[in-house]
Amino acid sequence: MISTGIKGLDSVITGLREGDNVVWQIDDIKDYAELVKPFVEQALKEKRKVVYMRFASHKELLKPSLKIKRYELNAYAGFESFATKVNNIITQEGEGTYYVFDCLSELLSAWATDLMIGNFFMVTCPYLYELKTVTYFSILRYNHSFKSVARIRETTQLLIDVYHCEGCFYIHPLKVWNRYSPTMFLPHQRENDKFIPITDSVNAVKLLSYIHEKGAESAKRNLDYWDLLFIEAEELARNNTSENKTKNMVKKLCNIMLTKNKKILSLAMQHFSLEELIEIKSRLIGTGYIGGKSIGMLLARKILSEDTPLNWQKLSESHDSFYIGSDIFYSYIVQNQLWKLHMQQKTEGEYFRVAKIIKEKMLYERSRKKSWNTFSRL
Amino acid sequence: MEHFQQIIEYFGSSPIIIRSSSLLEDNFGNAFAGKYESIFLANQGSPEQRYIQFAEAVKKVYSSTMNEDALAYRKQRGLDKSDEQMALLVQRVSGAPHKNYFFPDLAGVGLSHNIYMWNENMNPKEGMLRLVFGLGTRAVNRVEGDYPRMVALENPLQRPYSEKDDLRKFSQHEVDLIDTKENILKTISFENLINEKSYMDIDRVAVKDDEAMRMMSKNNTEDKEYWILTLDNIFGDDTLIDTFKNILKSLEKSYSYPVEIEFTVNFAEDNTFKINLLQCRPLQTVGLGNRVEIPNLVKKENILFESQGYFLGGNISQGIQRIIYVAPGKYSKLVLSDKYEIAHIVGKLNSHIENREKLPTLLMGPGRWGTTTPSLGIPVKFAEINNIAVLVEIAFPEGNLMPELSFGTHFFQDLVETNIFYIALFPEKKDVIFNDNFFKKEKNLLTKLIPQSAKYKNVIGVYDISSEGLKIMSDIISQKIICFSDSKRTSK
Repeated sequence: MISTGIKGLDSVITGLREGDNVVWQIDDIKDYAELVKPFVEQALKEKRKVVYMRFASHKELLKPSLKIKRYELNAYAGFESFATKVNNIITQEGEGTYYVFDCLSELLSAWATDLMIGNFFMVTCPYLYELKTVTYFSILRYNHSFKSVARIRETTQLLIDVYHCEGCFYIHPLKVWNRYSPTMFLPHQRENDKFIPITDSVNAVKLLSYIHEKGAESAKRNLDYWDLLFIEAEELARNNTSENKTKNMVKKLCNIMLTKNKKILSLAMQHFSLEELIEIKSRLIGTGYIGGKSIGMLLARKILSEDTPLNWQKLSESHDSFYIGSDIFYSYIVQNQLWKLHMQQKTEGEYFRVAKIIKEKMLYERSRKKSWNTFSRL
Repeated sequence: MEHFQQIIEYFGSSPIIIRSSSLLEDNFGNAFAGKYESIFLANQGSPEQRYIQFAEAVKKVYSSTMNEDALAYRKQRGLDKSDEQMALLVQRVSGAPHKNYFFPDLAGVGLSHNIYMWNENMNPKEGMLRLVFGLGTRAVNRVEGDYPRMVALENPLQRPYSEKDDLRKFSQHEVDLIDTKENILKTISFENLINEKSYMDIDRVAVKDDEAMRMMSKNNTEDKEYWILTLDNIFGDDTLIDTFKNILKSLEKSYSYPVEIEFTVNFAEDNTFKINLLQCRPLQTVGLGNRVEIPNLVKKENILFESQGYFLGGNISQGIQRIIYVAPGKYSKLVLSDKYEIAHIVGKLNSHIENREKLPTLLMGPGRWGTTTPSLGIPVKFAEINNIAVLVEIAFPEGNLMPELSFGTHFFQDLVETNIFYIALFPEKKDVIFNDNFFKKEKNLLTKLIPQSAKYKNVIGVYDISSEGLKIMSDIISQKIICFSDSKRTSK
């Protein structure tokens, strides 16, 4: 058995096992830090290799130490380079390593979509499992859409709720893979080193309805962070309150939806209004960037419409194009189990060889009939 | 995916095109033009069938990120390890139904800077168009033996062929369109389109080919009409041309850089037109490298040539591995039959180049390539130089051999269609360097490649310079062009 470093917790979940990915669903990063600490101490005591993946802006979970290997990662480099770096580190550190990741919810501010956090999880966890590592993750409760929490639940071995109620600390295992005890899936109240299951209905109802109330905005959680961001943008456009806020929103939306190219970006911010960006989004399928051709078309049309002597409105055939966001491309790769090959293709000497295999798989793996299915899960 | 359904329902059975729109594509510095797929869907059939076609098309575009030439291109530019995310642009196909066909009246590419204009008397800043009748695929891709209408915006009707034969040959003969009945994209001849009476406004785009009709009617009883797609009538008044000039200028100004656009034009009955702007990107660089930055300080002994202006093909940054050099002084002294022999040998050397990308070759010689008069230049046929990457014409006034390439000639058309970069070099001029000592240290491979040509080894030199890192760079803004060796030259 592998210990969480907290005896009472070990007995609730009957201990950790090789290959476990543990996702803590938290309200406060402090709670996560308190769970990480004993886990790492125990691991070091057992002379395990411990690696800390640092990428968030929250307070560091582990102080720099000679005993802990630390990688600083940049989430703003985008999904692919982030996931690739993590993949390479996992390969390099090898079997049986213990990992602590910063809170994944922070990736939202960089990637602006739940979908890609789900994708990240789907490509990373199976690999961690394969290499028999034990890994701690956390996500902020109520910060992610139901759909992406569902995908995380599907992939991880353990998903555990952590919350406070009336001064008490509770954990509530939601998923513990391949382990079972009659009280395992009840909320447990912490008393020093012990975790006591809440077995009586009175207390269970009281506690759970309290928690439920806190997450009352559940309608919103049917939406991706991405959509919520645009709802916010719409409100901003409607109320037209602060010029500064509007400007910041324009900048943000251009950055996540239009382009990474600096020159094009500055042109875009100069020419597009918030309303126009919202309009572009209304014709965007999925999330992520609309890509080079789309931005080129939209920008040029906008520039020409501002050139009054040209009389563009009269000259121009209007367009009603749709854009399919770049995240769909990654989702397609991830959901059709091509990510591993995708990684392999970028390694030395495999560039052309593996590309051929990927191409074949992308095109022919599934029969025509299944075309429905290849996209149905996206 | 339920959202795809949304697109299918929205467009109904209107033809659509699914275009790659990757993040690297079409930005400043990267020319992925044509590297990834774009797929036309005639989009006929039941919603289920249309959905399946749509999903298949999406897969095809996605998988084109793994196409060998796209990968090679990314690798050359050091982008092989970086992300390439593929977004898609789904556009309604611009055009109108003509019986069972669907296509726009005109489609094309526009450049705000005329990269094919080298003549001093013309202003490259006026820009140019490549126009076709029907879908724009033929204007974007180069199709052998078929010629889009090249339009210098400064003078749209300029075309130097005097013979009607030439006009016939150097025009567009085939039309890309969507066949809604067969539910496919296809190519049919303009002749068939006319004779099926599927396009009514022939007069707008074509002129009657009386000569062909006379000839045909002699030995044919069929009542067939022959037309040549000149597109001349479209330029009858300046409205269209002026509009394009203004569009290109306006975009160039905002981008602070020359631009390239794709568009369609559709005419109404009253001859007014609507332009559909399909895309716009900063003008691209041919060959390697991102934006061309011509180095300032190159040691003189490392320069093969350097010049100002007189090139066509736009921005280039091209590595060169082989040079074929016909020495002007030696050539001019040859007798006529030997001059023909030289052309013949050049043709053989050309056929030795199996792959233009893998063995980029620079061909240099005196006067006009492709002339029929050997005293004015080497009388090659175009097919004898079609594997060359960069063609140089060197002025040799003593022998009365001068470069001459006019816009619109056959040779010019073929160079453009084959994407051969062209330079005219005037060594006598100030600011021009031509260092023919450059070859002295190199081993001439002529007799090794073509043993029976030993007699001409003083006239033709063939040098493989792969170790030298020879490069040609041009910049259309400063009009500077330079061919130099990157690495230190070591004497052998």
